[in-house]
Amino acid sequence: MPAVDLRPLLPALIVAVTALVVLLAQAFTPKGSRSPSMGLTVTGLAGALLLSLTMASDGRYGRGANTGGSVVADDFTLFFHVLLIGLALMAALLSPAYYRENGGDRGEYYSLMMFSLVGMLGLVSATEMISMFVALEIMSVALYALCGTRRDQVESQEAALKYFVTGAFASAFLLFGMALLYGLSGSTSLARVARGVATATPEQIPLAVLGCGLLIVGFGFKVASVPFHMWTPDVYEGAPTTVTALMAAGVKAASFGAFLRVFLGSLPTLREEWVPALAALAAITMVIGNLGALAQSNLKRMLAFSSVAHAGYLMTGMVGTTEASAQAILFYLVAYGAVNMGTFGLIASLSKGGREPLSLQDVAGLGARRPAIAASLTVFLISLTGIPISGGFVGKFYLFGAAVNAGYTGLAIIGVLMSVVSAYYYLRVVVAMYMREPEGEDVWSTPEAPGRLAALIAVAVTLGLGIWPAPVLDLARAAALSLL
Amino acid sequence: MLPVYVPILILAVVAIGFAAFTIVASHLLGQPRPTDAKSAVYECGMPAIGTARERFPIKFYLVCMIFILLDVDAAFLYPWALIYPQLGWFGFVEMLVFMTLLGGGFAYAWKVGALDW
Repeated sequence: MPAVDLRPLLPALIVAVTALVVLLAQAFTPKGSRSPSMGLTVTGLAGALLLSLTMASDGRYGRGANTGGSVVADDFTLFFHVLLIGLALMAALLSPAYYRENGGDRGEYYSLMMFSLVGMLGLVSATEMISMFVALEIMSVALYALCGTRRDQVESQEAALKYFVTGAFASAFLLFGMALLYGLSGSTSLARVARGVATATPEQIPLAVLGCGLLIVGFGFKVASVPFHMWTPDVYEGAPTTVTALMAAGVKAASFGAFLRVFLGSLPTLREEWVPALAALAAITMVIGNLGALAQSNLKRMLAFSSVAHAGYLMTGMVGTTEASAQAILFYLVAYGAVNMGTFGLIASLSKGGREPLSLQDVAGLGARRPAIAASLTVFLISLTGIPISGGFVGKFYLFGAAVNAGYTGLAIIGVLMSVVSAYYYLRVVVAMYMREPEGEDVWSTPEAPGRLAALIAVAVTLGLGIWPAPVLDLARAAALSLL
Repeated sequence: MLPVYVPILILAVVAIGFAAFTIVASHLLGQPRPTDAKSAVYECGMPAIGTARERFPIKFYLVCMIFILLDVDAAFLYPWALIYPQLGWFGFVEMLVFMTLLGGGFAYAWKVGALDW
């Protein structure tokens, strides 16, 4: 047995141990007093973030190390680790106020959130299909429970059940695809699968294509691409808003991480087969996501369809299959993650007494009453639309650029047209905030310091990526290079 | 090839013979004194006939989950113990992590009262 380097597992291990500590702290806190859940969570996550940053900046701490061929800490992994832990940290900052207003500020919530994060961290670092699948399930199972944490609300329970049933179904597809690739190559290691597929005989090719197709179904579900998006609006709407934020930002990023590692990293020799399928999916995802969002009057539901549409934009970038497309996707995931965390986070921190600002009437006149919040929301919505000086613009520029370079100009045109369509429903919110008279009394909470900090970080990242994208683009490029 | 399976055949014959013997013997030797409860269909202590949409305590579910955890834990420990010499310290640390997470989970379940009936 060769010496095994466990360092790539360390960030996930810290998060897991913190989750356990939070869980036990909650159980051993006497009734009536409050367990320091958020403090412990933030400390643990900050430690994990610091460790990931150290690993990323200095090769001595295990960058590039591989744990028994199953988990690797390459630039790609570390890029995602920093992003995902950062997003979870923001979600943790946003949570206490939200749960105090809506009931149930308990340690279990933070604990489940961190267990889900452990799954996400594993998902992006796995180089072997069993580890990848187990990580995916760790992420998903914790999320199913998180969706149902507002037990008094029937929508929350509905979200949990729907997500669970459809998620389990999608997992089966993914597993079947993995099994076929295993059958072809005789190994679950992604590197061996790549070799097996590259040297496959003509009779074996259908097996590989079928495996690829099933994997696209599985990942397509997790990233919410049409036609595997049916769960998205109901789950995003029903889940507690901070959980929705984590789902929209973190789960999408982690799932795209695994999607990229499997398809760009291991199955590039089959690109003739899967790129057209992916391009078709991207096109219908962009169209249906955006048209669906047009019809929504509920903000959370509108953002759910926007999340579907963004899965389409990201897949548009993926058809390039080059390092430039991986770079574009990584960059866009950062921009999109910050924006989603910020938007859902602000909705969550305005909630009061079990109600949230979810309709256009609710946000009408917000520009006059809450100028800072309205301005932040405007920044996020502008970035979601893809208007310059926001991270979303730079991201979309690179995504569509990657598609054009790959010869999929038509797909890029659909993307741009759909972005124009999306301006209608995003900017409708901005118009309501600034150009409509406020209705009724101001019934919303004032965001507390942790929530304000999270929103501020989101604004800073969104604008920073739009004005000076070079550093993150460079990091994304290094990450993409370590993948291909 | 086939003689290898003779012991299994003998075991099967003995098992069937024993079952037949006990049924026949109890039929011949026993003195039946049937009551309503005794002649009812046996189904794990639950009434066998009735609505299927009956409510039952959520406690069953909790105990069940905890049992499955313990069960999986044990199933994992046996193969681990078997190859422990080859795994060495690595295996020890791995199992320690696993047991700590699981033990933490049990401590939590116990403390919040999942085991109180």
